[in-house]
Amino acid sequence: MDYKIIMPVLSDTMDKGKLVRWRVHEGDVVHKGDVIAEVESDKAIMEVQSFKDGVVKKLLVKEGEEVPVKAPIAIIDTEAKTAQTETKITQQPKEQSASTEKPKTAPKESTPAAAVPPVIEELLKTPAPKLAEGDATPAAKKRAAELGIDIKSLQAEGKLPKPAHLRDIETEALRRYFTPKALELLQEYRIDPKEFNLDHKIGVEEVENYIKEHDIPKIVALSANRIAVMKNVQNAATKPVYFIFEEFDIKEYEGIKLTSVLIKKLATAMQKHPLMRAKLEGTTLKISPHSNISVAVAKGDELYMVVCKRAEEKSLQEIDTWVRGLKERTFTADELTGSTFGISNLGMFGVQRFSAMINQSDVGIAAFGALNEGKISVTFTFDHRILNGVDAALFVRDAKEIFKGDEDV
Amino acid sequence: MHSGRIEKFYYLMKLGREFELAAKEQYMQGNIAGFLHLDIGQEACSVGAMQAFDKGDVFTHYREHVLAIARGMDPKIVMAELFGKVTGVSKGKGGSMHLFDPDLDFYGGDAIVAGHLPIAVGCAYARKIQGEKAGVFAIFGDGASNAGAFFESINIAAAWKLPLIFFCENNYYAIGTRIGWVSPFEELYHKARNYMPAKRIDGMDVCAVYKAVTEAKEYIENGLGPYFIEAETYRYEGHSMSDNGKYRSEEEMEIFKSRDPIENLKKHAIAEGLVAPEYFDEADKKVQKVIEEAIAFAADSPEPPLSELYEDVYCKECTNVIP
Amino acid sequence: MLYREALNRAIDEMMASDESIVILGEDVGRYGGSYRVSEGLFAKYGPKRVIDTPIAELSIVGNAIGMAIAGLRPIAEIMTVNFSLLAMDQIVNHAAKFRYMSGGKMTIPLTIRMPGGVSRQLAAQHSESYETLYAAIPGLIVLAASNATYAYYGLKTAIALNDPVIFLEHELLYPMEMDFKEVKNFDPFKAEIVKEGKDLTIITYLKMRYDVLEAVPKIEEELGISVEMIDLNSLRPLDMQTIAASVQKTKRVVLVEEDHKTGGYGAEVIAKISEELFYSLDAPPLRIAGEDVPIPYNRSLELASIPTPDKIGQRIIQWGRKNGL
Repeated sequence: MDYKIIMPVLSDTMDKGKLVRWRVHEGDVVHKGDVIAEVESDKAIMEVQSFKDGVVKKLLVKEGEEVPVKAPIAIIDTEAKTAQTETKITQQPKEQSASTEKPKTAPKESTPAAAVPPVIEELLKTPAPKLAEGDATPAAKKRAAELGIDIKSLQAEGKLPKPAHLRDIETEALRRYFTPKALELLQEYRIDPKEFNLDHKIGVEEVENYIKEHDIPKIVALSANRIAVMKNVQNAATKPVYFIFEEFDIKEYEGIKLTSVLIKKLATAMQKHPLMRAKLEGTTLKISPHSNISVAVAKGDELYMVVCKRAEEKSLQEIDTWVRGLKERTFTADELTGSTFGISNLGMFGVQRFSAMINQSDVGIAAFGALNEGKISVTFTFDHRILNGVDAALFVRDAKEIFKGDEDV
Repeated sequence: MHSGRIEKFYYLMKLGREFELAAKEQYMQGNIAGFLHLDIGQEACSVGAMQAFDKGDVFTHYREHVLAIARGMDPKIVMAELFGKVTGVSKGKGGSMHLFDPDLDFYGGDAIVAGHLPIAVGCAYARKIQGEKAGVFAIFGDGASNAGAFFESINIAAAWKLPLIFFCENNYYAIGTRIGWVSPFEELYHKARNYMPAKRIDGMDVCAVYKAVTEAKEYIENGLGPYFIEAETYRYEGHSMSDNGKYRSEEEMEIFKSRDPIENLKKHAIAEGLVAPEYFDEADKKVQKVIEEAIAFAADSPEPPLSELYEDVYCKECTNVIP
Repeated sequence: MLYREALNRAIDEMMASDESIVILGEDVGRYGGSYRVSEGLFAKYGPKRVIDTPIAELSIVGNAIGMAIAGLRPIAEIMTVNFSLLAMDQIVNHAAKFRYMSGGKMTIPLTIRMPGGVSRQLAAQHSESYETLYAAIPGLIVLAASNATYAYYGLKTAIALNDPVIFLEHELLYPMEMDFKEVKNFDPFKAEIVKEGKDLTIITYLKMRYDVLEAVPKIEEELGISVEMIDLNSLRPLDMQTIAASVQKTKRVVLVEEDHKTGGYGAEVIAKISEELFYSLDAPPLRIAGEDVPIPYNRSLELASIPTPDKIGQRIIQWGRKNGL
């Protein structure tokens, strides 16, 4: 029986081998385990053994020749062992089959259909979505394709930003159905565009009708100033206060605003009454040497309590210049703090009498109504924690005298 | 040594050697791939140790086919594993170097040199607190005795008096590196001597191995702590299939081959009249049959299905939630 | 409940209910654990089950694997993830692979706890985050506990699972007082939606959860958006379902991690998102991560090397403005 010896696989990386040397001749008797050849693998020169007993029938490869692994290199006759000598003589090597029996190339390693991880497989199954061209995020491109929006040309026309985001595409889509004004209105009233039938161009009127019909409120955010005022008055409302109602005689001065006069007079009165210059801090009072008066200034919707510092040192003219400047300028943080008493004047609106909320940590506030033939009504609000009724009454009495005269002017 | 035991030694060593030769042939024919480390020449260690240490847990290195068979693993499923078939002991996913069978308490084929030693130590700890007397057997080569894991392991095993046999197969070569080049001495039991009883034995003599392991087993069973055996042995083949082993001299090879564990056992058994000569022919025939069956089984077995790729990464409970 | 108390309670309750559970590691026994996680357990369960090991990480994990093979359920403590590199061979080559290479015959019920991350000035060899290494290994489960609730339930589950689990903790979290919530039907592999939102998804885990939480109000205020925040909890497996649902909703994603940016765990998360959710994205994903330097000792340099609430806020605001938010 013929037993084929093959070019052995001698390492995990070997795919062909060189026959370096035959250690047997045709006709030689071999035993199991005998070395019959030396072959060179990619790693080393190795010996090839026979795994059967028998006689070498044929050497199929020449020394120095390279053949693929698993190709036959020799044939052992496993049943010829008893007749060894005879076979040696009778079977002289004839140069024939060695060249005819070409070593077969090693069969290609069959690669199984690659096992694809489930996640990737899932991804491959889902077809890639259609995408619009242009400079945009993946989500924007996908949405644009769905809506039939040509990002590229719109960007060329400057109608879409680069890169475009999803929101830009959604807005662009809406522009097809809403006029710019209508769109603004939608955003202002926070109306979902899907509330409308998107089958025609929608103008302002249709949106306005929708607003009325559905009684949709306009949402207006509060300004920072309004929020600050809210906090201030809420804080004031927690203070224990009492009121004194009075009517003062007052002189008018040519070319001087009434507010300026009120500041000057109060500043003089405050100098006589230290408690009017006091600030409550824990269990102590901090009394300032100066009359620092906060003055209510309205600018459009906004309200500021601007502080006239050291008012007692200023001339009426100086105060008037300060007052006249209030409408035009913006205020620094420093100008909005540091007062101990306040003034609010609504007389110019014809208000006869009103009461005001105490500003921040002020001791009190004087609210002045309209001037009628030299008389002006005034409502004082005082913080009871700082002063009692008697202290307040004494201050009001002195103030009344000072308003009447003009020694300080 | 009674004759039945000697017959068993002979049969298993012969079966081991023929199995390895058959594996070599199958490798050369391309039916086995990757790394293949043959135990030819070292059968006395594998068989003697597994016959003596017949209970308890076994942790092995990756030259472990004969150990597995001597432990009781069916040569068919070992060969099938070498072929990478689904019928293999590790479903074709482990290969030559990874033959595990918890049913045999055989945790074999760790392919990181000395990597299994700390694991054997932990197992010995568990056996100790569980009150299991049989203990643990760990087998490794001379190369492993130079690794940090080895020194950590003899230290801990000795510190905690663990029931663990360290069995070092000293075949003198870590692939192509002679142990004396990288160790201060070639008699490796010196490395363990200060930690535990340590002795050097003839690893080419299956009876000597059996005797030494039996003694060690009694020692650890008595709760005295670990035990170290160095068995001098020799591999006739290269380290793996791609190694021609030519860094060793012909003379050295001849000396060890003259001590061949199988031939010498047979010679002595016949000379001393312990085993009838006919037994050996019968045993050889039986071996031949077992090997042929193993190869036929491996060759005829199916490849693992591709779905096996994702199996056994996690336990069933975890697999359900882990993508 | 303190974070470390949650861990201690989890171990204690598990050990009380199952005698096969043991813990081992350096200083876990008589000393009570470097971060006091195993405090009191030695006295309660004794030296057989609360095992003081030598400082030999390879053996701590190797021994634990052997114990697991023998039928115990070991919990190995590695003092910091930095030292776990010494045990890398045991974790990766042995624990993670035994089941697979034995064709499913081997089962390694093993929990390896290790704290990591930048603490305070512990310098280069004690400050790393190596979750990216472990999360890349098939056969391992990697959980990251950012809070007391997950620490408690997550660790209990880890101990009960029949596979090796790397249980990551953070050194700065141990002494933190945290809310604890009772959870029914706990799922260790589910990410937590820490906060719902609609414009931006921030994904994070471990200690960065707290830095992100601190940064979120400013981000929301400055960009005028609402942020959704996800704490991953489980790094392997990764809960892509929760991530996908969130990203499909918000269309924008930021990942914040303490690890180095190059090859950090976030790279994997972002890669998966790009792969699976590309057409949902309305902005390029952003990673905020540690710098690509070893962690320095000096406190200001150290803080410069990792994300902080300020940096997280600034980067996201800047990125948001640039990308249409």
